[in-house]
Amino acid sequence: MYSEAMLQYAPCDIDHPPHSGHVRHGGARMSRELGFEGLIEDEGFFPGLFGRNARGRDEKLLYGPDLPVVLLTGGPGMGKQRLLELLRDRFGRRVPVAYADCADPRYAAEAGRRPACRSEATETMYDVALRMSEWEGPGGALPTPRFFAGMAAVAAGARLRRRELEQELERYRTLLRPRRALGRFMRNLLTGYLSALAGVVAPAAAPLVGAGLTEFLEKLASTGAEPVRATYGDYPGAAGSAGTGLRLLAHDFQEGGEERRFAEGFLFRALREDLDAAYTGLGAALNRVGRPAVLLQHANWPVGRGLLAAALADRADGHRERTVLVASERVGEPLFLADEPRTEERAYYRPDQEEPPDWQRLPARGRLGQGVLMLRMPLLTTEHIHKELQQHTGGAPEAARLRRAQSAVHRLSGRRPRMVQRLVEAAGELPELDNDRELLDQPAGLDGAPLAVRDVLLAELVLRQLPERLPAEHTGRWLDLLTQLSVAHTGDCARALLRSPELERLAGGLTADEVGRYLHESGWPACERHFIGDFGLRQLLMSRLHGPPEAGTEWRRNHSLLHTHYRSRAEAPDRAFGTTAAHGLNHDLVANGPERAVHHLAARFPADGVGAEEWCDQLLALAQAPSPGGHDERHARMTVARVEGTRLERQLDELLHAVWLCEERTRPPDIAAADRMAQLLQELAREYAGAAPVLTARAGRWDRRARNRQPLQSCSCTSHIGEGS
Amino acid sequence: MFQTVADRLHDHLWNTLLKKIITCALAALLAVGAYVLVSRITEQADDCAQGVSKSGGECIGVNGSGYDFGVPGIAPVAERIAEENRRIDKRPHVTVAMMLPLQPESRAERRQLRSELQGAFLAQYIANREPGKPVVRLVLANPGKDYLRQDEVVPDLVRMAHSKSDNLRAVTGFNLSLDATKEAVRSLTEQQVPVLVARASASSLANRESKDGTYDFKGLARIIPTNEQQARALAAFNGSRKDRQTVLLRDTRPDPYVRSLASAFQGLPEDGPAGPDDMTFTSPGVADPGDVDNQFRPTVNTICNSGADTVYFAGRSTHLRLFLKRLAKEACTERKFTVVSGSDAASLNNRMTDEDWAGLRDSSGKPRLTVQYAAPAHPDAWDAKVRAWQEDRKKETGKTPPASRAPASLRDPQAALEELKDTIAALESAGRDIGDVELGDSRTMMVHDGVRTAVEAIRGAKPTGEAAPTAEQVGNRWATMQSKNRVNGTSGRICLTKAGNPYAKPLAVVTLRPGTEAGPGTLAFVDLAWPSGKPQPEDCVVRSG
Repeated sequence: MYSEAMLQYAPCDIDHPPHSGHVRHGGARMSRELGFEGLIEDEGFFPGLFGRNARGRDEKLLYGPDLPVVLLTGGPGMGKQRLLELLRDRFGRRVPVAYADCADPRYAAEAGRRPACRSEATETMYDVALRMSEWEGPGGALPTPRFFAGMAAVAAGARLRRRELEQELERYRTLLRPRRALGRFMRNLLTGYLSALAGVVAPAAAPLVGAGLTEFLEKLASTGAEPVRATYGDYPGAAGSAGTGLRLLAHDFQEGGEERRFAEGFLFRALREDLDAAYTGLGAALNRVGRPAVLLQHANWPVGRGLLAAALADRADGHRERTVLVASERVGEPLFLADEPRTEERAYYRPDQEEPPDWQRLPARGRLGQGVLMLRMPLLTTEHIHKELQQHTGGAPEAARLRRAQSAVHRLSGRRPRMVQRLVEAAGELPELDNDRELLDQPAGLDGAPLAVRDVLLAELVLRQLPERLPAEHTGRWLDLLTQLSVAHTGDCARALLRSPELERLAGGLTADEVGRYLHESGWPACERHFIGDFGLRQLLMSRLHGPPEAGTEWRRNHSLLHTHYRSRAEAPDRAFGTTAAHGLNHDLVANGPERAVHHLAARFPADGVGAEEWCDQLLALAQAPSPGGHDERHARMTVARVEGTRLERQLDELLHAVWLCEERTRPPDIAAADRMAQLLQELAREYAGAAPVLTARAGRWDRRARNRQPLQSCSCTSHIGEGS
Repeated sequence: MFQTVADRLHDHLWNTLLKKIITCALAALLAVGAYVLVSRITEQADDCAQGVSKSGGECIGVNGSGYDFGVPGIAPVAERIAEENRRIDKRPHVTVAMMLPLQPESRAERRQLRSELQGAFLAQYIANREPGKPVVRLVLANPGKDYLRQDEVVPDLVRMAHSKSDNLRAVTGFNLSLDATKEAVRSLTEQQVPVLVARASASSLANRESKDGTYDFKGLARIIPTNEQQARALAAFNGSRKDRQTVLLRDTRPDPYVRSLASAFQGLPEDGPAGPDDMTFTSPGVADPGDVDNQFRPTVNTICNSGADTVYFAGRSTHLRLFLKRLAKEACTERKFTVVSGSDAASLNNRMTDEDWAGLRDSSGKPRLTVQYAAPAHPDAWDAKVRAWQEDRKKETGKTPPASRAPASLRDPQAALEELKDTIAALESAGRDIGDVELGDSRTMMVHDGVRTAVEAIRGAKPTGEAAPTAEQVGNRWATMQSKNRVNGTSGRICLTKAGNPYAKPLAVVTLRPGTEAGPGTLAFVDLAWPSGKPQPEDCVVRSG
């Protein structure tokens, strides 16, 4: 089992503050660009989107002038953060790029200092505006006067004391600091605000209310440049009056709830209009380069979700923007878009498979999804894995072991970049492997400390990327719950486990369905036969549950619980296993051995050929069981049966073990097992003429699939296996 | 991140549209600058001076800014011309071009060239200080050796004739009667550029007098009598000779001067029995001696044996010198020869060395031969003729009349020559060097008269109110220059016929003989002679026939 001390809850990488430019890859030596070649290299997707490549050369503009919001979709360990940071670091010197981590607790902390006029969202936007005002590349700082005016209005409407209001305004002053003629104008503008303020806030101690506030906002609107007036004149209900717009904005912000969210969304629009404006006109055409970009990490967190939804709503309303907006999203089909009715397919881009699509705004108006381009984070290729492994092992001469390690990494990682990186690190010594899960016990470094790679990955992929909606009281048990549920196949399995007296306490009231939803929201894929739908994560959790080979108490207990659960039920159809009996025996096979399964198969053997197909499916369903751990006896038992009984039972004992080996997904394909399986099926076909047609057909098909390294029964979580391992 | 030089350059020069524009502008500027620089450099490599470029090893083109064409002897006068051009540059002016080979190889030719340019400059200098308008800018046009590259210069001159800033209105010079010279004259006149031939005497470079007003060269004038006219004048001067006394020696090289001279000599009326047949030699070029000396050996023997004492020499002065040396050296010492030749013999004095002259004297120091030719001008002519007139009058009346009473046909040229001499003296005293001036070879005087005639034609053709006449108006003006519109040249009064030929222009019969002392030969004016045998009418009105 894992070490409690090592796997503490650590939300959202707070140990690495955003904007530090720090490369967050623990001790791994994986190149930061790994897998992103087509995205960031010259003539790639992002250079096209930014209008500049990493060397600062012009790139042919991709899309535009109307731009989609690019949503990076991919579950934990897919490299979203690495990509966004890479974009910031690589392109940040070439075009104005503002990176904001929407889960950064600093925003909440700053907002908490003056909650009346700040929120996490405004702090995030302020950070973006600040980054833009610090841009020192071609064209100089990007001023954000509209955003400044909005924040000034919010501050003025917050009933602050004069000193507090002055402090608050002073804080945003840096946003107006461009150096050229515009800069002087902006400084004058600010002086105008402050002198207006001085005039209306007498007596000094009184908060700005009523007529004073109105006058200030009017002053703000009238001294502001024309664009500022235009922006806030568009505020719903302002009827073209910027003063009214600002007052409504301040009011909505103070109202909280949905109103505040709307006000925040409007401020985000003002901010993007500022960036657009900085890129408009002759001066911009002459001096500016590329496109400004806002990168929102953890946009699936509430703050990011709000900003993203506001930006998409603006686009849905017909706003066309030239600011690049890239946001990360865990779920392949974001929930806030999932139920949106749509007449046309949304735009997707799979960089590891295709060229960027010809995006254009969908004709339907008013749909958030029409302004989105979903970029599915690329998986690594076998070649990437091979290269990384070679680099990590220093090109060790043990070619066979290298191949073995490579195939293990491929199977376990599912080519998920973070998993590949860690598993490669663990495989550095090229350990002797029988089952891939043995690799999970190999050490890797987490924050400088060596730890079993299983625990490192679980910390990185689960503990540090908790579902954003998981109630705080459950954060401590989240990993343990998943660990226990790793043996579950379906929601029914999971429910049975969590309802069992042994696990009820651990569940702490969290239901299996909630766990399933959180898993989905975390971006983990689903599988029709496994509750933990991701093969790699399941292996990590199983390994954690089982512990060392000699252990496995909880592992067997859970399988036993599930066997008992299904045995107690009347035989009924089962979604994953055909029948509940087969499902139960699958768990029994792991927990107690093959005897009951063999007897069950013999009892139902279709000697006359009736129900032969169903019988074969049951055999396959049983053979899906994970390896029980400890010494693997299957090789021995597929040739010499250990079951006491009839010839048929002994034959079926051998057949079950051969098929079980063929279906084992944590080992390289076993040709001997495939041969033995085909041989045994042929033998049975010869002996039982009635079943012969089905058995012969199955023998041929299964043998072919096994030799082609394909699972005998396909399952979405293992579809990547056989692609080159 | 490692930044390459290319990246840094990109950042600084190409990063934004503004930088791209500035970089492009600078690059364009740089390219233009480089182009100008390179073209200057190559121009300097290919070009000798402004308007003059290298072609076949020669500097061909038109220049008025003081370029000496690599001939140090003409540098002072070229510089004076440039000075004068600069002085009048801001005033309304016309341009007169001097077209003649400006890079002669031999010393003698270079001396001749200097004389010609001096004449041109002096005429410009005098004209620009007279009340008439417009003032004159003078340019030098080099058509290459033997005018062979005239086709490269003619287009420049035509362009200048069309140019409002240049206003080229006449091309003069033309010191050699060659086929290429004729081509140049034809090409220029066909393109309406007026031409005035000052020194070339071949009849092929002259319009035939015509009654219907059609001429070979429209807009051509000349101020020097043709070879035939010179020969006729000489013959008229000497009276008829007995045939046995004369022999004709001619060059067979195709040279219009030689051809027309030979034909003039052959056409002289002769009395008595036939003398020796014409004798010939073949020279390689105008100034190229070749093996002509060898060819003269048998010729001279024949002449000695023939008993002739007068040799008509139809050839260039280069070969005349060799002939004289050969003639003096061979054995017919008992006889004194007179060698009669054309106007090119005026250059003889420039070609003969002291040693050459010594060879022409006998042991007692007396000359063995005399060269007689009809020079187009001689500086002593007018003084001598005025004195002769005074003596004649004295013989008639017993009183010596004042020189001022002498006929205008003598006094006018005399005055012009005086003015020329005064100008030369004034320039000298002012320290404005134009090189030593030798009026004796007639070139300075003839070219001076040519430029003066061109200037008078331009000024006379200028319509009232206009700054300058058109080229065509100048071309038409030649035919009207007679009587009161004549030009009083230093070589005589210049009255032009309708065909642009000089009317009854006097020639100076001169003799060239070795002096009694060491040094160059002496050129002595003998008398005036006229092609028709009759003096120019006092009123200078062109008579029909």
